[in-house]
Amino acid sequence: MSDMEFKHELVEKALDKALSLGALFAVVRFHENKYELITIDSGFLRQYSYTVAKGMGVEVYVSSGRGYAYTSDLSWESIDKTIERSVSIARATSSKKLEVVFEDTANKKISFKTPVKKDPLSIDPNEKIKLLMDLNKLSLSHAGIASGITNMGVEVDHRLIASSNGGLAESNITGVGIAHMAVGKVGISSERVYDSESFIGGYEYVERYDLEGFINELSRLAAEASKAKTPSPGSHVAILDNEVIGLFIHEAFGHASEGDLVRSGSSVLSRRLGERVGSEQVTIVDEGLVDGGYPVPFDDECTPKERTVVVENGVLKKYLTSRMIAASLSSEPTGNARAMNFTYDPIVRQTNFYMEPGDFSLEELFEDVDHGIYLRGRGAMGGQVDPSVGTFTFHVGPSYILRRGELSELVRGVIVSGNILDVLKNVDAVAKDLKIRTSVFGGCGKENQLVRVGDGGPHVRVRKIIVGGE
Amino acid sequence: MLELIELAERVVKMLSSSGVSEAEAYVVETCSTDLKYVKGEVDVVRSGRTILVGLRIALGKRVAVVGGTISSLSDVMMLAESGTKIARASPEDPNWRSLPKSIGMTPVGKIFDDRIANPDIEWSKQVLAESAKIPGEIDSRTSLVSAGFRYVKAKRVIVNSYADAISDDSTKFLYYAEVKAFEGGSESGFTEFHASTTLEDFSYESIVEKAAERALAGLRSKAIETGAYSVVLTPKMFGSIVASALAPALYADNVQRNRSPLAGKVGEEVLSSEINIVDDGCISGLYSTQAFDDEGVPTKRKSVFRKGVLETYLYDNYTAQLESRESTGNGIRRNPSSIPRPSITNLLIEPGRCDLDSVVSDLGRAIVVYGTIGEWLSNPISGLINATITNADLVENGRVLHGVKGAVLAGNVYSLLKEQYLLTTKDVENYFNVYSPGIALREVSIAGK
Repeated sequence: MSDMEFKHELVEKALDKALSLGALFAVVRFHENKYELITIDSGFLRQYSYTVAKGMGVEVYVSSGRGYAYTSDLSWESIDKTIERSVSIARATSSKKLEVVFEDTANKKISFKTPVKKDPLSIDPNEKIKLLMDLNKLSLSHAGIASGITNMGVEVDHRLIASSNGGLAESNITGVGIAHMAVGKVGISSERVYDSESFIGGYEYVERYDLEGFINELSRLAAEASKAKTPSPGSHVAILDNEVIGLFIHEAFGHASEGDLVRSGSSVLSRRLGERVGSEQVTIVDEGLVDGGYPVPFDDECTPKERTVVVENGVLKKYLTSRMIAASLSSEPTGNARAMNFTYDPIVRQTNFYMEPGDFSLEELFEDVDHGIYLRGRGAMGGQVDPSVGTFTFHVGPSYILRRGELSELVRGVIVSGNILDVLKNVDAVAKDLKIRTSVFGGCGKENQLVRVGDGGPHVRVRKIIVGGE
Repeated sequence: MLELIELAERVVKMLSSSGVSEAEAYVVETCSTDLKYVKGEVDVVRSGRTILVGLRIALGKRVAVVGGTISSLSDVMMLAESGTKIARASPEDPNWRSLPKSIGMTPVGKIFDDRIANPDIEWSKQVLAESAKIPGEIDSRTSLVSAGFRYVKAKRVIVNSYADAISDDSTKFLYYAEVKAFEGGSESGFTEFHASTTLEDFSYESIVEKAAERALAGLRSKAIETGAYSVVLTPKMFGSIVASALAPALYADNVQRNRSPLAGKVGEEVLSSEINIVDDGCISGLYSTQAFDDEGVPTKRKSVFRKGVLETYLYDNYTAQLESRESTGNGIRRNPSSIPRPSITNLLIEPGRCDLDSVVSDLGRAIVVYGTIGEWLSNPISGLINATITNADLVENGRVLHGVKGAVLAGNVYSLLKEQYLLTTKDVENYFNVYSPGIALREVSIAGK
């Protein structure tokens, strides 16, 4: 019996066992994730690590509630006990009846595999180390660069998910990326600039990409930023580039649109379906398969992930849901139940969350700004939102002050903050240049689970946003 | 499946006999149970067990790290084979000396609680049900929207080519409560948590009460003018900022690679002479207390800042050997298959003598910060900190004028803790493994309307 046949038999057997113990519905998930990380730190190989995580998780629904149990021990004895535990804890969860709609997915089979010409895990380690070492040295050769860390990340993710109503989904996703952090230092003033380029596919993408150009640009920016000042604190007109709008949309709006937060009342978007939440220019989408993003053809409850229009021309249309959350919100599952690995139950997560392009040219966006700031994503460190009140914050990369529509001085340490509803209503121009990105080095964190996501959008102009600085 | 110590010893022995010059096995067995409460119901209970193995393999100065979850001895042997291949292909690291040549344990007192190792689900459900009643009893405008428990039991084993296996057992516990307040069209929320290694001192009532009180206070929030304000950071806020902006600058690898503003400053007065900070991995009952670090070096207490003077950086075995000194017992792995890197164990900031209320009363006009987001995005390389205020009061002579919202606090951590430092309070809370008092600061930049 092949390894694949063995796994298929294992999930089928596990489903039968869950149903025999009284589960009304069950989802069995086999997950194997291989991750290779190579790190060059200022000219030295600091880490060459390889991690394999594999195991099985079982989500069951009984008349009184839901339970989740997992194991990394793939012997049948251990899986058998895991199923028993999932049913037993499901019975202990609640005294109320769930009204979960288990839509008919009978015979629905989904299979997805990223095309790979050169498996990055099979490339000679010497070749990968040499490439990274050369890139790292290139960065250190720039004037004003005191330190540099260059990483290569390779991920091969395999999921096999079966549901007791006939769904069967399987994915094999390969990704590879290069990340670099350049530390610029002038006198006692230091600044870091970090960025990464990730490709969903094989090593051929690494070979094609202009990595030297990527390293040169990052290094120049770090050296320049270490001499830059922080911006004046206060409220500004801002133009957000493709990466910043992605970060903003994901952090500031995406989390608040997650149905579990809506259900608990923890989201500022609760009870606002059909209301205006942004200007006419704003349309926001969550989509499983999109150019540049991370592929999510189905979620971890075996529901296909398709295109979900969350906001259309400024009006809130839909929340993101799992099966249970959809039932409690009286809507349809949108395929957004995702888990980091087999040790976690799926919770509502974004997939590729982005703003649709508008019809402004970049020139039109800039020419009307008398004084403002051009917020850049390169070097951005991420963000956070308090979805209950809609307050967000994110740390963008070195950015430019705008004067009379032109780029002026570079500023660093730029933090942007505000309330999502205020900011989206202040969007007055959306450009045509859609760009979506993902990363094999990070992702989105929620309830201690990190999942890969994609985000992006076009350049966007906002009439008022709070910028923090010293 | 083999017993963990035997498994670790067997793989190191096998590697040693296969011709590698050094081998280390780090094995962690984790059992966890989580309960989540949402809107009047226990939403889900999650439970399971994993065994993770990390192997560090050296062929002379060629080093590789491999790891992952394992299901059987053959999984470990496959990892060993992969690691040997990677080490063989790697270039020499001229800075590599050796794995720790002696490993051992410091007596650490209580880091294990049976009630966490074997959680009582019914008791947990009862606590969640009781938690849900508290906000309404305090004020009808508040309600508990979510709460949860996390119980973790872990067994660690480490063995290397030079020493016999050592192991320890510990537990960790987390409880959180999120309360929302509504009044007319205004709404506000606050999440409070308790993180510990035992259930001693756990009081869900005080956690929910604080969350409800701060959610209510948030209803009165207004935007404030941009400017420089006196600021009081409550203990968890101060702890979170120290963890992200200051602690990484103490790590020897960042110092050695020119990524720390503290490089070359041992012996200098870097912070206010009122500030004393200790890193101590062996105090009984603290969040990150353990008998040995993640490469088997016994944990210990070290003074990091005494009267504001920097006394030491934090070292793992690798960075210590680069300076021909002993590891400080701060080799921590992000996960079993990561290399150990210097990191804090428990960081303790010495408290002052005054309670928070009297400090606030003496400040005149000030902002008292209870909640922020994004403070973890602060930059330890430049020292710049930024935090968006989500819950704070604007006070004058101890009287609350109104809540504060939509403001960004910014500054440089070294300036804040020296020139802008006023005093620390006597109340200490832990933000996971940072134990800190509150702190009062002057002329802090606040971006508002």
